[in-house]
Amino acid sequence: MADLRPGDGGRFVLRSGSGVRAMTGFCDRVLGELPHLTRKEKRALRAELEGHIADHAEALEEKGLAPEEAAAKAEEAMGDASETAKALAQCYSRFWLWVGRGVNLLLAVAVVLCWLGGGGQRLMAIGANLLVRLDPEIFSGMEPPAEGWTSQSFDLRMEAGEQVIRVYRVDIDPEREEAHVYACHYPKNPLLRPGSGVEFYLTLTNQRGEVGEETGGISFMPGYLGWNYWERIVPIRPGDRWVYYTYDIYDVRLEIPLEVAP
Amino acid sequence: MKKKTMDHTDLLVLALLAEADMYGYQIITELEKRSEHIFEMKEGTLYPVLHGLWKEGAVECYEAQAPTGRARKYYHLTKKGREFLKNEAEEWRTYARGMEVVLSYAPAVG
Repeated sequence: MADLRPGDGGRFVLRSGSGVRAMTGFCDRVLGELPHLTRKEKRALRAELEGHIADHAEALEEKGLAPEEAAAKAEEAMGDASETAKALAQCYSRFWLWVGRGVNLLLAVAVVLCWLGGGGQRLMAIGANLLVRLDPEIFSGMEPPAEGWTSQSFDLRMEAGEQVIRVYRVDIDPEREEAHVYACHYPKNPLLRPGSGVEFYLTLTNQRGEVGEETGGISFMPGYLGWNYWERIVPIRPGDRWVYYTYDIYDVRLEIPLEVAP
Repeated sequence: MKKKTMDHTDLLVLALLAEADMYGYQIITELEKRSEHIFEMKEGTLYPVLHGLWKEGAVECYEAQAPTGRARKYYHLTKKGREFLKNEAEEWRTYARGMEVVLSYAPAVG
């Protein structure tokens, strides 16, 4: 039956029949200053240090000391725990400490992003938000221009409140004399969702003020994936140099050059 | 004066292990006995030395059962450790000889 008696300073002496096993604060203090050790390394080190203290305590008991006094002297003989920990730290790699810190940082960022709302959807939206800024055509799913058409790529942007409206391509159908204008919008702040219905306040016109029509194009659920795409068609004539996107609410206009006239 | 490449504690531990495999407390007691109590170290500081030597490949370790039934970790000198010992011991002897010669010229004090 175990006889558990508290010693001084939090030490315990457990007598278990075949000898004395000293559980000391020295090991706790050493390991407390080695946070970067893996669990396996900590277990092995603790076992070795406790074994040493127990060996010394047994030798002192053989000389006639009482078990508690022997354990106390054995622990005292180990010296300064901080000094030992400092010297031991140089023997163990800090790789897992930095991996752990990196993981904790990523988890913290994920928690913050989830807190902003939407959990996994939020992360997807932010990821998509960032990608669309690099290359709008990533998500556009647009077909290449038909044979005989001409195509221009752009990076034309217009700010409308908290949204960015971006025209990235214009295809010209010379036969039907139409300009197909491809655009998308996304929020200025990648942590926010895109506003819904932005395109409803946009008007595409030609130089004569004729209004273009939305063909339906590509329009995903806004707010889910962080952006919205659409296609509009406006009639043009030979010699036309511009078409325009106007955002009615903010009274801003984007001039889109037609570099290749039909 | 040429700087010693190995700490003298490392050298002493390697010298002890050259005779026989030993466990931590045994190394401490043997060191005290053979040095006639000139070298008495704080016992906790032995383990950074042992773990450092293990990291360099100078020693390897294994577990065996103590008479009390507890598992004990023994240290064994490797071939690399013997090379270290041989080279460092030779350097130390040269160093000690040099010190002895210089000190022999110093007038007696006290």
